[in-house]
Amino acid sequence: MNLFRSEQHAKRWNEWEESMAQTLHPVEWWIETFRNPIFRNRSRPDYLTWLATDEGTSATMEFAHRLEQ
Amino acid sequence: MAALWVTTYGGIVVETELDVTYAAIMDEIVATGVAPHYAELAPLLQISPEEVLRRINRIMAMTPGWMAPGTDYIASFPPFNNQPTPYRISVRGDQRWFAQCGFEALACCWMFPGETVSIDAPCLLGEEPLHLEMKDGDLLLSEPATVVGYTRSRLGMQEPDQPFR
Repeated sequence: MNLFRSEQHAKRWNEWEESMAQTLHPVEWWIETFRNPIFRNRSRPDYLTWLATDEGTSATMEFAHRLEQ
Repeated sequence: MAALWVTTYGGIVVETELDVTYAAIMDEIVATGVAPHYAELAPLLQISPEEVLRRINRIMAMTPGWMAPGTDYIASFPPFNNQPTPYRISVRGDQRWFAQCGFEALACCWMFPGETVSIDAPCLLGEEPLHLEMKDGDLLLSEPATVVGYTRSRLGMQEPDQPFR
């Protein structure tokens, strides 16, 4: 899970795997992905309890679905 | 060290215990850049060191963090990493934190609301480094402007013996 200077740099990396090419996105796409409440809410004093609520479960599923794009 | 959280979720004892422990660890990392040893948390949480360690292990099983293999030390507590990684995080010019990975680096800003958070990382191909600045989830600066993210491993932490991803 790394950042690269450009798409070309990522593809020149010695650990590049074409089978995972669908994970290559502009950093803006990953920033949007990490706006999900499961990341935003980590400073909540009841974070783990929140994760198990309907809201937390829904956010987790939303994150998983976005990764499938 | 952070103050002891006052529990207000009396009906759900187990979750509350873990919430309090999770928050105490996170507060300490945000404040110092370093994850506390479980024995340090014992007086704060007013429980035995063994109970703190039990809770930490339960938290690690619930979240994408992990202990350093073969030890009782917290290695990674996302978005942060207790071991240095290529992803250096700075706030107000103070480089005190490391992100768990390049992606979690993008989530570090949520732990510093209202602050500009800098992400500095080397180029894995040995060229010029990367520099990003974020604030409350917004990208303020990207040098270069063409930065991308890529992973060859599955997201979601299925590799408990792997200190780095």
